[in-house]
Amino acid sequence: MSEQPTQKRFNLRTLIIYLCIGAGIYSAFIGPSILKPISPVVVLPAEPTGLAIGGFQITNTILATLLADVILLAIAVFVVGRFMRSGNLVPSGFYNAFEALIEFLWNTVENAAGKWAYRIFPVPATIFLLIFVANLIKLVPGFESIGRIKEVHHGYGYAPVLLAKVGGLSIYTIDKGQRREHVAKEGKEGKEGGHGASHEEESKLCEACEIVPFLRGSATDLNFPFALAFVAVLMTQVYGVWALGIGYFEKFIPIRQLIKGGAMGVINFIVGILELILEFAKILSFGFRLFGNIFAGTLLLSIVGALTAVIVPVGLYFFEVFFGIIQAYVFYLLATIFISSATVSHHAEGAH
Amino acid sequence: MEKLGINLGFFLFQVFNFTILALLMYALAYKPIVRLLENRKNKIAQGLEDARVAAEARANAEKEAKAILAEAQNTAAQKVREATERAEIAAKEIIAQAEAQANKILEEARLEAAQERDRILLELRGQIASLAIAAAQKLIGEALDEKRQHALIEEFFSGVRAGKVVVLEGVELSGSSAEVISALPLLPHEQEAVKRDILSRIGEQSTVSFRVDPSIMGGLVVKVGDKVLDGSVAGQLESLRQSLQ
Amino acid sequence: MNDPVAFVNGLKLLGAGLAMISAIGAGFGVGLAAFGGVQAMGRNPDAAPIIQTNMILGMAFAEAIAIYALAVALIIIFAA
Repeated sequence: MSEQPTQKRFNLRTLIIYLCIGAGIYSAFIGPSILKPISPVVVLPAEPTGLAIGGFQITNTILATLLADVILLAIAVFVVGRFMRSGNLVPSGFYNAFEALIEFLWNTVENAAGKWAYRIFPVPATIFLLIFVANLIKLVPGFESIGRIKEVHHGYGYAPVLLAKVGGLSIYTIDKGQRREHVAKEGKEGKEGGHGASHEEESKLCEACEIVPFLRGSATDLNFPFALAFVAVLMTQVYGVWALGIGYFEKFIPIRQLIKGGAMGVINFIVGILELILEFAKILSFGFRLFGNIFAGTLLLSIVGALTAVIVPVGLYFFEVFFGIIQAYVFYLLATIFISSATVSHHAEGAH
Repeated sequence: MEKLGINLGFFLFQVFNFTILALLMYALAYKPIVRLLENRKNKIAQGLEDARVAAEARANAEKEAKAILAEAQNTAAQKVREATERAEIAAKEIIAQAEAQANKILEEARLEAAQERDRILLELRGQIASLAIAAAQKLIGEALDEKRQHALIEEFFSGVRAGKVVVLEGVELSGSSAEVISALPLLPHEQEAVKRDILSRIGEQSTVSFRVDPSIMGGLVVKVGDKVLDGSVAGQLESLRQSLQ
Repeated sequence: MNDPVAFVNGLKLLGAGLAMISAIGAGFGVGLAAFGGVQAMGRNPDAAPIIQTNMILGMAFAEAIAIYALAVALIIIFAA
């Protein structure tokens, strides 16, 4: 390929790349205003998608989490399961990559936890895989850009433009050229949408609209990282009690040392209480680290995407892939270390 | 909290979701894969161990083979050496035997030849005496006393006069053995006389041997110990020649 | 000054921005951890896995400061 680059310059792939860049430049700077990218609306809480199971609103982040679950389970069933049934000894293809990933995780856990590795492995491994997949599928186009349109609560919205009608489904986009102020109206919010709204009257459609995506990165909702952090810290306690019995809690409330140790005992007692507080701080730290990185990444991506629609976001996408993996790894590594250190007796080292 | 989006329902849903996912993934993916990895690791370790054992066994076998080979070589070398030695000994024996036999044959032949010669010379002796007397008669022209003639000739041949060996007159002799050489074989009574005479001089225990050597022409040569008493005609002729010169 | 709500909102944003100043310290901390870690790995490549684990652990703790600041900023903007 590299032998005669001058002849290969105008091959199909390069042509497609040039066409994409050209289309990006056209839509962002030259073309009609409906093609132009818009600045995102920064919303912290997850938005409801309109779907509900028995009164339980499914938010877009929960939908994304479920999607990640489905992907993981599909890998487990169709890739791992098929390989296990085939009885092959030599791994190949996608299974090989997945096995290499699991082997890497397993080696880390085994190094950290030793004989407890078998028992604690599912927790950090699932944490890693779930964050990993959630962070990567977040970057697929369509996330955070396809959804219902609805009236903005405050700030600016844009006028909806009908694109096409497929059966009863009306597909809208919003026009950057028609920016409208939010008009406070009563009873005009909530239900209107461009999707499956055949029973709704078109006149009920929003005036100043924003898009509520169906799918939004799981880690951009605080519930997801905090749930994982909570599970990690909770499991740390569970494994600690499993390994050391009820004596595990001596770590937090060293009553024996308080009675026996004198002045040092008092200090140790206070240190123990501090450790107890640190356990809760761990949840905060775990959760906000993942959330902060991913949320900031998403925000950066959409803001830069709105400013310069071409070329620059590509580099940021690389960054996002990288950070997604790094955050998953950090979360996993910290969970592994905390859990495995909980299985080791605190007193054993103090007794020497 | 509500504004941050933290909602107990969503939170619990995420925890629940995670738990279910972890359990399912454990059953479907982690357990089989980890077991597979462990099996593979064990298998590799087993394979390496087997290979090591096999290599050891091979090394042992090689060592043993070498030892066996060395022993075989030693044995073979020893056998060859023994065979060679035996062959050499046998060859030496054969050679010695052959030599001894040859020597014996030679000795016998020589002895036979000497005896034959002695016999012939003895037969000749009478004729020689007759011829000498006839020649003397012709020269002198008159018939000599036949008996005296014979006695003279006998004395010439045997060197014995009146029972005494002529050369031994007035000589001191000592020694354990004596050899008497005559030109023609001596008659038995002459031999007896010579023997007696010599033994009377050097002692009864000594031995006397007789030999015939025609080159001394006549008379006797007696070797006793380190002394040679030359009473032969050839010796007298030699001394005459030397004195004439 | 004639719109107190806007004024308060502006001060909130200002406070959130100020809260993020602590990211300077966290940045230094993470950089320092990476510096030490990479140097140690360069000197002793055999111990790279252990060093890497500890480095990431240290970075995570240093980063936690920035994350607390981020939490504070977010709370100021959205919740306060």
